[in-house]
Amino acid sequence: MRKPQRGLALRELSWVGLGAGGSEPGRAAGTADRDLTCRDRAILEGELSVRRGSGNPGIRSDGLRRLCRGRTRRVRPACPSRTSRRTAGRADRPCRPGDLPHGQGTSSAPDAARANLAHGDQCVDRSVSDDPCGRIGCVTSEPTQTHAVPVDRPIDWWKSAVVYQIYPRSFADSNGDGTGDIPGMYVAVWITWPRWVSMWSGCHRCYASPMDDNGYDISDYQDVDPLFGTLEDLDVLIAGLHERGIKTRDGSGGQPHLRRAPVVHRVARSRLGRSGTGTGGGRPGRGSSPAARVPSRRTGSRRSPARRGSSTSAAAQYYLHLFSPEAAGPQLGEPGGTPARSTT
Amino acid sequence: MMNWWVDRGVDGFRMDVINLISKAPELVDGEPAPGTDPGTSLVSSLPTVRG
Repeated sequence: MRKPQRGLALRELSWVGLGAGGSEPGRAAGTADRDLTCRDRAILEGELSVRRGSGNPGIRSDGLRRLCRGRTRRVRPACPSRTSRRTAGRADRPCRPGDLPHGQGTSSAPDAARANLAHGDQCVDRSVSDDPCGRIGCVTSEPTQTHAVPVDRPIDWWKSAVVYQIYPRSFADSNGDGTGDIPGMYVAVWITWPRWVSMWSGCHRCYASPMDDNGYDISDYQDVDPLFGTLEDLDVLIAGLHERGIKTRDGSGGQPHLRRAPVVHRVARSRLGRSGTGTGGGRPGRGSSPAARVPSRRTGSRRSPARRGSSTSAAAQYYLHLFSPEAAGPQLGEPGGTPARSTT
Repeated sequence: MMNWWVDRGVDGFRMDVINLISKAPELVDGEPAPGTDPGTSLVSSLPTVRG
């Protein structure tokens, strides 16, 4: 059996997975995919437009909710769905990415998503709904299956989301190197995805890292370590998970399917000598203390002194590490305390 | 950095040991305490964690 290769093979698997898994009788798999994508994107793009329209104010202590308070009006064509949600038949044209749910063409995307989700307190089992674009949630009457879902607040999806978190190294290995990777996640998710899961947390330790501390030591917060794949693999996984979420027709509670949570990590990689100063980025302590005043009664979780001297600097300098000695702990708000490079 | 991930399609973040995000500014000694690492109070759940 040919091993899956990254990139193209993933797209092939995507097609195969969706096609084979598109189990709605009488509906061509490809059409089902488009239908589902249509619905999901109506939600996701609505939220993203809100986030972007609000100028990305940043994530505060109360989390993602604040990101989504703004509103932007966006007028896009409605999906040319059938005239009645309950009428069998085909759409005039397949739904396209970015289409709004049927009949919502003059509303903003967040309003459209919210309108569908705020219809009532009970959600319809999607398996009995036949509308290709309007099945965001509680859009039809005669519910056959109920879920306790905060349907009037789709932004609060995370409060009721069921998170499926895996350990990437041991979850699924696609290339036979003995370590789990992102393409493996993709395949495994496609095959074994439990339908009650509404959020995926799989890549929390996939950042680029010298792996001194099993990936907790991060050298680049905006890249994927080659051990796990590439950013392109990750894009494919994210897109595939979004599609998969739409494809899930029951038990998902009408929530937007929101995927993958990278970690705001507890440590930032700081390599001594890398910058020539012996301190690197993310040094939390003011490191010019004389050696005689260096604290000795603080330990990291590895039971090594929570300080480390520079071998390259003439002045004795120290930094705090709470975990691996190779990973300095960043200080909030201090220059250099932001471990990632600037946004590109 | 987080916005960069949001733009990439990520929908949420897992805040792992977020209580350790801020530390006492100076490298001072911690007081030994049974069952805990010395200095835990200097790095854990400081007021700035709550933004």
